Amino acid sequence: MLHLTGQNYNARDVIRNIFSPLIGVLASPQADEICHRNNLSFVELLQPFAKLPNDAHFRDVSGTSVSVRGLRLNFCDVDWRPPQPVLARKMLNESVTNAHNDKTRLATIADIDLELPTSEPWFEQWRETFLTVQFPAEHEFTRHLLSCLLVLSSADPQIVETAHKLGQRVQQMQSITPQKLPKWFHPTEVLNSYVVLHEASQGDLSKAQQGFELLKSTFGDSKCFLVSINSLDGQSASDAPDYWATFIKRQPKGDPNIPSTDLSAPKSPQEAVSVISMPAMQMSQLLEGANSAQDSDLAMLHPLSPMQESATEAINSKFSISSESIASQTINPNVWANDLDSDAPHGGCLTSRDIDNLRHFVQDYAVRALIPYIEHLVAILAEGVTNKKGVSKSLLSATKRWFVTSKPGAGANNQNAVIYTNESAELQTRKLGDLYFMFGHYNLAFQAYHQAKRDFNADSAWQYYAGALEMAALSAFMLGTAHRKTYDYMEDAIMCYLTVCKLQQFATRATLLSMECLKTARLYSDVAKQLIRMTNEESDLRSALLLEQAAYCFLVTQPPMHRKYAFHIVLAGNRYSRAGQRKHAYRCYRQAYQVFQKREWSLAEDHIQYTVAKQAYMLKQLEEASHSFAHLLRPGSLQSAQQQSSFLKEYIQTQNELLKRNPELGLLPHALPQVVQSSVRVLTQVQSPAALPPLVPATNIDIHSNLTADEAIWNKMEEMLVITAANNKPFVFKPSRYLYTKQQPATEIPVAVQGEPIELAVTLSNSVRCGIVLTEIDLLWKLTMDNSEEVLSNACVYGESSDSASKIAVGAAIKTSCVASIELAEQAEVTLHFKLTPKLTGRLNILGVVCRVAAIGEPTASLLGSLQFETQQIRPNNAKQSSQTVLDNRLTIRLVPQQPAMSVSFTPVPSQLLTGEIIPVSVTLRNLGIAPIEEIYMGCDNPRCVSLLDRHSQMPLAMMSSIRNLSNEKLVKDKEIRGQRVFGLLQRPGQAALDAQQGHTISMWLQAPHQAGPFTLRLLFYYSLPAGGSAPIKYRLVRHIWQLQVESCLQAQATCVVSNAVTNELGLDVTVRNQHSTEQAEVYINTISLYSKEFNLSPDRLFVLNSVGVGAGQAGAQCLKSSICCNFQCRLLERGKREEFQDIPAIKTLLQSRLSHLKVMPAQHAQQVEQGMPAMHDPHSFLTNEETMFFNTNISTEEFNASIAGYIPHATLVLSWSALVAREEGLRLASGLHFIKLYKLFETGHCPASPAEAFLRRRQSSYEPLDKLKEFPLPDGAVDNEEACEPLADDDEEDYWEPNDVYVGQRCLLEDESFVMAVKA
Amino acid sequence: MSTYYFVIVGHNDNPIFEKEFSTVNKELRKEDHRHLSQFIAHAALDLVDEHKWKTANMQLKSIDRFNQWFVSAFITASQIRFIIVHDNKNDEGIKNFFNEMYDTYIKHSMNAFYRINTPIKSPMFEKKSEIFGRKYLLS
Repeated sequence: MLHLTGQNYNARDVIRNIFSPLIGVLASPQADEICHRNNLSFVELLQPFAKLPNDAHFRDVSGTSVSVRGLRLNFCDVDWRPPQPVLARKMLNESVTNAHNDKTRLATIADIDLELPTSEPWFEQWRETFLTVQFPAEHEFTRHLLSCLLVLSSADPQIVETAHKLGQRVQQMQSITPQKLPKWFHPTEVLNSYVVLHEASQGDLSKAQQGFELLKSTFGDSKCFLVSINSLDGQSASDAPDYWATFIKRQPKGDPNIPSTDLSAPKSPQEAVSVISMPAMQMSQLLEGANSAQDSDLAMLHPLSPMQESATEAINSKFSISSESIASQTINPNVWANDLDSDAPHGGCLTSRDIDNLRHFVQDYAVRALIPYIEHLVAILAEGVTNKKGVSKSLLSATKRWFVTSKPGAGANNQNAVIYTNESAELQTRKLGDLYFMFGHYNLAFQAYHQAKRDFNADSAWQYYAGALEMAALSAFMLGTAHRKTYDYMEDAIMCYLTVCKLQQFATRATLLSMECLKTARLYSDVAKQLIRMTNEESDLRSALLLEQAAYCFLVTQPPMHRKYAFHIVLAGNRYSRAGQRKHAYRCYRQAYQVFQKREWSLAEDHIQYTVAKQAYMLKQLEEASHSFAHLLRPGSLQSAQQQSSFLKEYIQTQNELLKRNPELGLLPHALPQVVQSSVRVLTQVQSPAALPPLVPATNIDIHSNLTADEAIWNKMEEMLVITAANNKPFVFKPSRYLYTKQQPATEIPVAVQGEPIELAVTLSNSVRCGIVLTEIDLLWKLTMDNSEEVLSNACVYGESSDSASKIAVGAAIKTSCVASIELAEQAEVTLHFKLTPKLTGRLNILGVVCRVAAIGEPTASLLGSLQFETQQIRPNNAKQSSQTVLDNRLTIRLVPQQPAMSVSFTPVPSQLLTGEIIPVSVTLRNLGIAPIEEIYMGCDNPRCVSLLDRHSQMPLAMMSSIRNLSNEKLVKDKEIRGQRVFGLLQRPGQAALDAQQGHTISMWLQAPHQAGPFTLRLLFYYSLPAGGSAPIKYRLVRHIWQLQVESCLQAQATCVVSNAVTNELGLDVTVRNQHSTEQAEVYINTISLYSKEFNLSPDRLFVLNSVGVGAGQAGAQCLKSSICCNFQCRLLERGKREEFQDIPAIKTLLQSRLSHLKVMPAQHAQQVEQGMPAMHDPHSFLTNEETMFFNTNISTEEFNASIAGYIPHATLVLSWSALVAREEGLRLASGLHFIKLYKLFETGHCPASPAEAFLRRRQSSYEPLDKLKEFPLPDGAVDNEEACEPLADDDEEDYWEPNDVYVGQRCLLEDESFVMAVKA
Repeated sequence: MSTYYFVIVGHNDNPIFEKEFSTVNKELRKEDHRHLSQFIAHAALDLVDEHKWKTANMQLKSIDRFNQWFVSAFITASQIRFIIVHDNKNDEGIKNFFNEMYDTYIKHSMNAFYRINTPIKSPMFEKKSEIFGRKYLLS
């Protein structure tokens, strides 16, 4: 029995053990019985003591004494036979399967941490088994039995007869020609020695001595040995340690269900293939199955190839014999000792004295019997060699020997044509070498082998030649004189075995031996080379083991070649998986992944991960398997769609199996689709669409609103509303927020109201090349209750252990709605919308999405899992905070108790308006809550365009200033500005504005601006919540925005002229023009009105100057068709008395006194039209708006004071018009007002303002900077969010020199004081 | 029937550009060798690193082989490695191809927006390599 494992042998020990002298053992039944009491056979009994404790001395031919250190005898049952190939293969397989070493060491190479096994017991076990199961060969004698031990029992009464019987049996074996197994080294003269075992506890020593003496006298003194053992009777425990445990390998008793069979050989070739090849390739393989015969003809098969027909066949042939037939193989009970209990302790009857006896026996036997016999043999062989030296077998070979330098493989006939007889000089030389080698005389051994090598070479006996070369190389190594040349001997031997003799087994053995030699010499790259050469298609297991060893060699070369290592460990893993060694395959691939991970060798990584996944799945390591499958589905994979869909399928399968086995894992995160984490948007206030169909609900914020653009405006409006409502109570204003996105991170915890829905949008992206379906979509949340700190989560709904009570509790807490299923096409993105309605209060954490994922092709195989939301980090606005990380709170929502809610809806407004058009709008406010709403305010960003009937108007400051000087009034700027933009609604003294469940409608008008283009109008409704309580929200807001398109229609201009130079009568030249882009539009000028302090329109004095093209229209006799122009002049009449007011009059009175009207070309429905809009003299008319100077929200106090102090005298001409516009939905009757302000004589006023006028006003503005304050600019500085700022209108900041385009004549008049229309008061 | 797998390997052993050239029609290539090519090229890096100091030449010629595949390599002055895994001998073509790709790579690396060692995603580079591959490797 060889022993190469588990003892930390060095290379020399290993070689010495392999080539230890082989001693046959034949025991009588009685002797066997004695040994079996120790649960051992005699051979096993001797195993731990087979090494001589002392040096032996051995005398060579010349009489020189050589000391043999550490001689080890290899005892072997004579009935032992090497197993048949099938069984041998099974043994080899199992030796690898059963050897594990989970301990790893860390090696860092090129900054890569590699976890390597501390040792490779599977390789050592395999090597030992491999060398053990080899058949003894003809060309070498190291595996031949040198001598024989016949074991007898002292209790045997006829001990001599038994000895004779055994002797005869042995002689029979030795004398058979041709030789059968076992082979004998020198069959004609074998040393047969007799061992008498005496049981000290049973028998009488003197009786034993008698029998022994008898034996001695019969067979000779030196051939007989008496060993006394079994001093204990086996009842009491032995004090001797178990020496045998490491030496004895017994097949575990035949339980077929042991895990080793489960893990080792694949059950069918199909399974073996499926382990290694990628599934899509398997498809092709199935198609190709028919032509597999041709495929296997391919000269070279790719090692990682999916085309493995020939490999499959190899496996097939190996394992075609079922396990039953292997089990039925005749197993020699003595050899494989199946009848002995493998688990029981050994040596139960032995004391330390008995063990000393055994040790002594081995030494005694070697010195007294074996070595003298060997000396004798050496003498015979040496004599034979010397005598025959020079006398060649034949004349032919002699000539050949001297004249032909033969090389292996050179001749045509490479087979061993030469057959040597046992007595031939060549074999004698070889035998001599073997003896010297076995007994440690390496110098003479080398000489003998060298001689033999030359002889065999000359005879072209290649197998013999290779054997001699191999041994010569080993002799040199053992002698310590190895050098390049002797390593080459080994190399040549391997090549000769491999290519000429085609003896894989011997080539492998030589490689294993060479490996030890070269490793000692630190020639690792040569080792790797030789090992790799021994890999072939025939034996996957051997290839795998050798490749793995080669891989480790690459790591210890100088410099280490970690990339070669990675490749070869992958190849080894591939071979392991083909050999059915799943554990080792899994281990190898995992080791390889350490090198390949995060290196972007995407396909290589996929191959590794796929194999790891498959092997882990087979090994039931499902967590690792699904982890690897998940990795295969990562974004950016280069695999094809087909491949990815099969990965997906297997991933789903693996995860499901994992969940089935471990239900406690609950919801596992999905590998796909990916959550685009930055896309998570949360809207905490969702307006219920309470409006009835014709009404339009307030737009509010929806989940997709882009808040960056105008949030600043809303915030400013909110601030004004809040300050107005708070009645100047001091507080810190913080804009309320409802929508949280990446751009608007939640620095504070969002607040939502119980019973009102929360919306959440998230984008999912599918990173693989096959479509997937998501079903059973839900949100995963956790709710921490306010009062009880109880935590409720809907995760339990998806867990195994959910009871119905918790399900009901979850259902009662939060209602979630979402689409039932979505399909995600390959590499697509889809945004999911969720609506959550909390029914409890507390703190809600939204954790992720739960969904069931399946491939589009196979909706039945689905996997339930979760997609987690990650808390985002907020990028700090300024550099100072950058040190600390702020986390976004948008998924942590505070739920507060129910609050009143107001819905706002509007009558519809056409999306396209005409310039200056006035539209009536009804605003319906409805209190949806159960508590009354105390106060409602409405804010507007463009108050000029809005008029409210409900408004409790004050006289605008600009109008007031026309009555008296305001420069000394105490006016607060901010309050005035707010007053212009904030309207109190439904203010009923002593009553709440809106009772619970009550609705109210307010009339409102909108006027489109006079400039064509897009028009945006924002309304913000504020309503306060019941006071008291520490509720985090004090008020709520409703937003509405109109985004309309304004088309140009009527273009008007007016100039004040001196119409009669004699009477100095002033006249107004008015030009109107229809500029609507469509042909059908008809414009009617109903009335012109003049608002002036000094002048009235002279009734009946209207002169039409040009009415070419003015014709009858659908609604009146005179209409302006498209691009038709009309001029007329009216005269002004100076008012007799100057207006005098004692007190400040009502607006209505003031307006009435200053207005005069004149009908021009009214449409038929002029009456009706004018009723549709506020009357001109009403306080809420748009004339009031026109006359109001609206202040910029961020003007300085000085500017404000200056603007109210100065009054610019002017007159305002108002054109009331109506128009018929054809639309797709039919004719639309529109009506509106145009205003032209006239400041000076001969100055032309335009409406819409012409560019020239704009210049003019601008130039004026350089004298009067107040003018620019009339615009509603963007509140630049009002907000700190810089990016939110976008200029609304072009402001007048640019100050540049204008061309003076006023005529010279006009200029003269302008400069003439007397012609200035407005006389300074 | 010849196939070439060309890869540019950065300093961290990471592939930054990969391309395959083959005379065989894609549909006909039922065996998927792409991952094997990666394995071979990656394993050859050890030998490239070994050979690069032994010669002043940038062309390292055929440095490794595995079964029927040869590995030829080229190393730039900045230690970027060009590797071709091929299954038939074509020293002259490979040499020319390497030289042209070196030229192209140098130009690409001078782009201020390209960071060394990151994957090359330029369509121009792709196109050039396609042209040179057809010209020198497949013709």
